[in-house]
Amino acid sequence: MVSTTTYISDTIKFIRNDLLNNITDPISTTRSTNSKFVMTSYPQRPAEYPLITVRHDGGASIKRLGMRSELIWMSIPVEVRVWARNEKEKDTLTQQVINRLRSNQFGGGASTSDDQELHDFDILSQTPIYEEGGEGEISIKSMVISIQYNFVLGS
Amino acid sequence: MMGKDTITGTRGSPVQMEIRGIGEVINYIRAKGKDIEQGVEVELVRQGAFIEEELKNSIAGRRKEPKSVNTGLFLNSIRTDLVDTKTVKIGPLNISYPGTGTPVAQIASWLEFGTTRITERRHFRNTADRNKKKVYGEINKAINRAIRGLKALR
Repeated sequence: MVSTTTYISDTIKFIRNDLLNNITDPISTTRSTNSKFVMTSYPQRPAEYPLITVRHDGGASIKRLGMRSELIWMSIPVEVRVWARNEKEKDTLTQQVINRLRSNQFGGGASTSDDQELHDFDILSQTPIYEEGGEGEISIKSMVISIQYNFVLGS
Repeated sequence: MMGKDTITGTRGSPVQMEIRGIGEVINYIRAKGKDIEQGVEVELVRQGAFIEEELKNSIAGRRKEPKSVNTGLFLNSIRTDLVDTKTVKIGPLNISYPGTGTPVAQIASWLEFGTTRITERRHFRNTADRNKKKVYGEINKAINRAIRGLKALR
């Protein structure tokens, strides 16, 4: 469950682990052991595409839950970015990510976002970024998916 | 049995009510609505210009983000457009870099979100986050001023 004291890292790790366990890695058989399919930052380790990065996106908004209350209804914006080798792969992985996050909100299981106290799942935007590859390089296509959860900070 | 919309007096006879000045009230509301709309529109343009300035400061390296000026085309292409009475759009003009032909908007998206080779420089998103509350506040004030019948512009 997401804790008040570690709400950012708990949220990011929950999404990372959920995507890692439920999205099929298209190159799982050939991916080297020191490369990861889903990561919590931009690749520092050797990057093998496709990959997915999950990061806190800043810019949270808050609402106080009453006068003299220290509880805060806080939005946690998260950037999930799909980096792929071609358009089709980018679109397929984006669809899988969105569908996984959408369908994992309720149901009572310990792995759902609601059970983690992450509420009101929202997709804020999906922005495609087309990168030009150099000569002989693969031009990486990526999709920046901005999502948001709400969380009661202090509960 | 009396109809639902008939009011009966204490002596049993129907009470008649006449409402006067409906036309004047409708005209007043319309005029007030127009005042509010105009006041908000003026404030919207003013806040759009403010965000444009803030965005340019961010691109020029005068805010927390790294400077993103090489030829100056991206910086100078930022414009504010009034889309309709409730929307302003702030972003780069639809122009391309001479020579390469790469659209300025394409460069803007690479700088904003980063690529496999460069880290992101969140000019647009950070500018929006930094100034969101101020802009909402100013527009709210404009609405309140218009409602109170004050001038939107001083």
